[in-house]
Amino acid sequence: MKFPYYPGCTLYTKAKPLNTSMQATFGALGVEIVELPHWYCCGTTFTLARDNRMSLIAPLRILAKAQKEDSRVLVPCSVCYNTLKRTNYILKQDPEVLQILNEHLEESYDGGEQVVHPLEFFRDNKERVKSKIVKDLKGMKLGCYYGCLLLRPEEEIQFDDPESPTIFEEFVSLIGAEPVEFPLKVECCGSYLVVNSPEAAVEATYRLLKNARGNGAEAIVTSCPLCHYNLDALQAKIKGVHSEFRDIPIFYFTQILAIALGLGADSAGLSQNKVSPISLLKEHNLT
Amino acid sequence: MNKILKEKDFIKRIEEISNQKISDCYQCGRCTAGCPFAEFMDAPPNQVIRFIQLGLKDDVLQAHGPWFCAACLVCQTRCPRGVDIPRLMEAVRVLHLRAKEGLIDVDSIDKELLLDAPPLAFMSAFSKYTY
Amino acid sequence: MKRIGVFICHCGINIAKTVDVEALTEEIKKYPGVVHAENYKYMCSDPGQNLVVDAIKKQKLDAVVVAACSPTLHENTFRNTSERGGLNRYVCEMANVREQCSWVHDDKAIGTTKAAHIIKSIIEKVKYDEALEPILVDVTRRALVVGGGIAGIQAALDIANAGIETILVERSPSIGGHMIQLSETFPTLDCSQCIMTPKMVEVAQHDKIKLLTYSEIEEISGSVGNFKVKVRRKSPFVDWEKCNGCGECDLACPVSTDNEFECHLATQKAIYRPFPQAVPNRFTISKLGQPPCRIACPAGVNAQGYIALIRAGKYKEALELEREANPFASVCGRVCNHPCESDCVRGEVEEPIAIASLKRYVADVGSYPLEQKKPTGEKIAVVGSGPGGLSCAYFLAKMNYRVTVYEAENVAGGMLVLGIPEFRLPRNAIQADIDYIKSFGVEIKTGVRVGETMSLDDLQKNHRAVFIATGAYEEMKLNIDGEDLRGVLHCISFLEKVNKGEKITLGKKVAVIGGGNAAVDAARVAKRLGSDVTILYRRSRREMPANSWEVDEAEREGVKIEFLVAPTKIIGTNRMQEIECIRMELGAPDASGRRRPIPIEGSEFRIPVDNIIVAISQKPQIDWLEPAFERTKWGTLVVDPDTLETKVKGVYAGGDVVTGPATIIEAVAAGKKAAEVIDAHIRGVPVVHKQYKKGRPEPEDLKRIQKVLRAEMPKLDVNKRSKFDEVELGFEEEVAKKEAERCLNCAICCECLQCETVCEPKAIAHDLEDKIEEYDVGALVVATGFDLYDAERLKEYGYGTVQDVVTSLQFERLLSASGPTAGELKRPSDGRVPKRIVFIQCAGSRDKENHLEYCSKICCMYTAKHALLFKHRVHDGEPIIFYIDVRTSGKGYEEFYNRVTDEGTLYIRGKVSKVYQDNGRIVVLGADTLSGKKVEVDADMVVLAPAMVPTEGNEEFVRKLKIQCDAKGFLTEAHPKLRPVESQTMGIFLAGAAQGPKDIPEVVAQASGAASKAIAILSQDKISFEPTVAGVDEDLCSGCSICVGVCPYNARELDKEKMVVKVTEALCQGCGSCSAACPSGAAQQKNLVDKQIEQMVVTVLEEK
Repeated sequence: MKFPYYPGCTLYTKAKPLNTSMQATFGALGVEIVELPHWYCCGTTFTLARDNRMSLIAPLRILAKAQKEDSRVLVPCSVCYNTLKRTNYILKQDPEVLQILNEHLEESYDGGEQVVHPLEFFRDNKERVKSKIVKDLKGMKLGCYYGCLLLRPEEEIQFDDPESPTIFEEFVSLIGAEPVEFPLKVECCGSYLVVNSPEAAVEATYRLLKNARGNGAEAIVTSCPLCHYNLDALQAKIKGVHSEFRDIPIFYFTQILAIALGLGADSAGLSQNKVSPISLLKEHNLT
Repeated sequence: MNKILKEKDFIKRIEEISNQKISDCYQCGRCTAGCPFAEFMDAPPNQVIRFIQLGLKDDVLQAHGPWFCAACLVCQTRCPRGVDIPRLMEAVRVLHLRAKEGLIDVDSIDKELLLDAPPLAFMSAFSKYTY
Repeated sequence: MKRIGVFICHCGINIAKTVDVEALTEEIKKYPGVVHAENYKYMCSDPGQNLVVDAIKKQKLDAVVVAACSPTLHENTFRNTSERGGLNRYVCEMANVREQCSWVHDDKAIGTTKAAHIIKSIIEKVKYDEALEPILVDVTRRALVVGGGIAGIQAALDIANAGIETILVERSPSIGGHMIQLSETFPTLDCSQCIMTPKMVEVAQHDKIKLLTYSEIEEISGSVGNFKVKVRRKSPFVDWEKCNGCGECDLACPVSTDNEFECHLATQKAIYRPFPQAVPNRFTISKLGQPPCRIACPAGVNAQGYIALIRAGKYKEALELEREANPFASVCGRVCNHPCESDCVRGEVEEPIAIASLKRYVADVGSYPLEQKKPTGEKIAVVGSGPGGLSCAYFLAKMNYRVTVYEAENVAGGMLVLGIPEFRLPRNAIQADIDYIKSFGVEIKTGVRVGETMSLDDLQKNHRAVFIATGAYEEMKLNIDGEDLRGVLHCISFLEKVNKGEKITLGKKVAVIGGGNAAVDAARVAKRLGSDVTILYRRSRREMPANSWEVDEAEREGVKIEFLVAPTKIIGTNRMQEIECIRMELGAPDASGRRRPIPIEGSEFRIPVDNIIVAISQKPQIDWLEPAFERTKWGTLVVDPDTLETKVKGVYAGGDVVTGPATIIEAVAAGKKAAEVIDAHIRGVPVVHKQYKKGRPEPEDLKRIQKVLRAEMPKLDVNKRSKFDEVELGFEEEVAKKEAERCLNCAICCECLQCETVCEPKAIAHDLEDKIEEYDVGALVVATGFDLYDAERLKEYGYGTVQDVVTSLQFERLLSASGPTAGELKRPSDGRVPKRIVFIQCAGSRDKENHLEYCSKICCMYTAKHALLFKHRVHDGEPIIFYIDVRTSGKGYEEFYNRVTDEGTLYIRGKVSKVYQDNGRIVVLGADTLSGKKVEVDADMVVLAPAMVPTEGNEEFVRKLKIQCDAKGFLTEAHPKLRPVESQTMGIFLAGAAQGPKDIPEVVAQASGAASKAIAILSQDKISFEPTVAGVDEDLCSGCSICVGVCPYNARELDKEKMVVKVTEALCQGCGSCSAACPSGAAQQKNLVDKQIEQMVVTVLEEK
């Protein structure tokens, strides 16, 4: 099986572990993920000003490029996923915008490309994943952090119920670990506020990590590089404000999958995690 | 003395950019209640909306609330009146930025952060906070 | 030609602003037939009407057209006016120049032209109008009220107090509705019970009220004055004439289920009375049908029933219940293949209940003294003492037949004793069941081989019926070379010898051929005899017919299994030495659904073994039966599948002899069925095969169930299994009880019949069925009430995930003296008294985006009341109310609100965004919009005020009644201001929250209003109907009956003698469907005949 793949810029820089674990896990599952030729940035955060049509061009061109390869494209980064899906939605809703924007393209695009998140792929290919699991993750308690971009706005993203999603928990159950429910799994980590109001991001991150820990999570899995950064890197700052705070490892969902598939620490890219998950993995005999 | 409904063009402009009808809001305050960053704002979302409803342009443009909005869309998801609040916040920011009034002074960004954080943090922040 | 007068109304400026009334009047004056035309500012006013009366008289008018508003508003007014002038009311017509003209146009010229067209077309209509007389019909002076809440109760009492017979229909077992669930009511804080129960009792005792609870409207036909209503009296499975409400059954019932009256805060028994003050004070059984386990069991063993009794510690009763359907408790508890467990709904949660092991438990603990019975009835013979034969004998003996069982072997039990090894089924376990069967007077004669020792003829002569259950003992051969060599054994004879205690020596290496239970048994026996054993099976593990748990056990004991291998040759001289096999692969599925094994060419190989045991199936040995008994090609007996009777009358057969090798429980089922048939045949009554409805929880409800793993059967240590000691050791009492706790009580009532045992007046009636009763009534009041919006849809408020988030109705129960906490306010999670309660108003209301747009009206006031009652119960309590607006419009309501704030309730203006649990506390994320602050509140408990929604099933009910409801499902009144208690169907009136959210005083007022409207109809002898009904021109009618099908009111039917359609005028509503459908023009509606319609259309379309 082949699948066109749009990693996005961050997966080549600060979120390399997400890329390496994507490549490794899909390879192990017998799916060849093929990067789009000559891709570039999606523009990140989706514009919310109606008249800012310029910002739709970048995602539009990626979608058009992807459509040349296949009717679907795999996008693991939550930010890219959100931007591409919202762009698609606008183009479908508003033929006028589609027409205007198409004038900026070499080839026209119809809004029909299907943007697929790996979690959706796993949900639809349960047996394929299950049959390849070699490590026993039983008893490992994982909090599934969705963040904002996979869930909202519901109408445009159509990923899962925005108040009580379950797709992530299903994934964690599928690979044999134990999902831990925590109510703040759908709340914001602070996102790009980390640049200009780090104190707000630190506080938001603290709140939800504490909530996950309080509900029994030993680690957290997420899919968004920015969430991962905030949850992982800001823990050092949280300790400065809240002395009682205890570290909690943050995994990309593909990292934990790589472990379950028995692909080893290198494929999982664990060494780049700020809060080391190694002792936790040792506890569960997974190293 | 605040003169209300004086800046009707301003209300219209916000409505155009945001594609929202400002009178839809009935001021229940649920956006503020669920906002993860309301505590950092001088005027929380529902108050910013109230300023817009009343046409209090100066109050809107002076408020810090819109600059703390991370567009997490929790308010939009739960709003009982279907108001896309983050779009209103974006409209306010856009008015600033188009008047060449940005928020971020690039030189003052923490150097360690610059090296450490993923590029999309800066891409996002620059697109929201700079012109 | 008619002299027509036209009267044009200005309707203030409503019409006059877009229609030039003066010019119009002049134009109309010139129209043919018009002798008089005038206009006036308000034609409907007294002076306006007088203009019409005067003109009729002075101008000697024959017909009148009033050009004004819609006929729905003032047609009646002006028809009355015309009558005052001396005209027949049906030659007065309205021309609607307001709704259809002035209100939809701005341009005066266009409006004036259009008005002229409208008026002229009506003039054309009125030219052909006939003088008609209203149709008069007798009124059935009886009312029917639907819904037994406060609205229905009030309406029923009011109508009955006017001396009119009233039927009150309520779908739950008691009247009282939601009001009886409330603790106290605002603003006076009357105790709901204190003001409600006297009214309920009054209903029950009123000699003019017939109370039908636990009943639903099935169908309704007819029209005002004469409705026919079919009422379904749902079976409460208790004879309410006999039930005295003593409650003994409640104590005896072992099944607990959800308590709806207590809003899921408590449980109730499967036999229940909704609350102690219920009216009528009768018990009802919740029964959804039969549980899946019972339906899955071929013998229909009531597993849910005995499991419930185990939970209650009633082991003797459990055993008795099990034996009702199957005498082999001890045997089946050990070796049944338990299809019940495959269908157990608990399996959808995690694992099925260990049903068989629980059965074994009750058999193990229950050695009770047996009372020897002596039946006295007809004599029956049974041939064969296996599970089929003995079951048949048992069930017949219980029916007082004298049964003799003839057994060829020297020991009774058939395959149970001969085929199954002791380590699976100890002999004393079989003996216990056989002793029990014998206690019913069954005589077993062993060592009698029918066909040899005595003939079947002899048996037939001396017995009324014979049941043949001789099983399947003849072993199938491999039909390969070398099968006669020494060392080749056959499974059943091998097991038989072992079971009889004969000495057998096996070689070192033994191969067993086959994959059934017998093969596995043989392998495990051979292993115990000291051999190294390998099972050779030609398909894969998935296809193996043996019980998987037995296969697992065999492997645990060291038996090896080679899959996809089949023997081709046995090699040796005299004594076998080797077996040649061929490898197989699986092809397409065969008739049994299993994949067919196909030999792989050239893959032959040899295994050196000392013995092989062939275990590839058996067939019946029935050579001794006469040719009159038909056989199948597989050598089994042919019987009638419904009666099990063979081709020889009076001789029946069942079990393996009919089916070939099958399970024990199937044999028991066959024996049981044969007993029932034999009994029916002897008594000359028809054989009844009952079909049962499956009762089980909805898959959605299973999600809430907490996972608990199935109890594991303790087993003998593998290293201690060299002898024939029983491997499975049985449950301890604690384990059994805990396992029984896992049962989901699928059908709710388990029919354990404990209630029957304790009911003194003998009121329990488990077979009682629903009844349909028909009532003739003249008017109906619909008061079907409301439900609360499903709080689980308010996910962000944590309902359903945070235990201490409750709904307002649950809070009422927690406050109520009769509630689950006896009026002491305790929170559900830990029973602690809450110190700070956050109340959230508008939970689902006023949220058009996500939930419901409307205001539920009562929540502001009851939430204020809740806060006050909380302060009264917990003096240092802190009530905090989140609100958007406080709406206190009602007498004494603002004063009440003031009292609540005075006594210390904090009101915060803002809608809550989220409620969640965080490290043991409940966090409420809210906002105070007045101060512009986000607020985070820690609460001990949260009370939601969910929106009011129409009661479940309202929309379907509305369709049945042919009345209307709005998009939200609330009943629609005839006019929002002027006719608020009438539906759009005459004779059906509305009361209570079914029509829209309202509080108790409003409901009561509306109910009295609806009652007085009903009384107004029912106090007349006759009722008049519009005569503008459709008739039939018999000369044109061909009797094609198309109109009969399209009539929505069943007003038309074919007169089969005259072959023309006739009309029941009282039913016709003049909708016109028939005239549109009639191909010959025979169906014509009075004063709206085709000719009129044509003229009107032509006139409207005419150029000016």
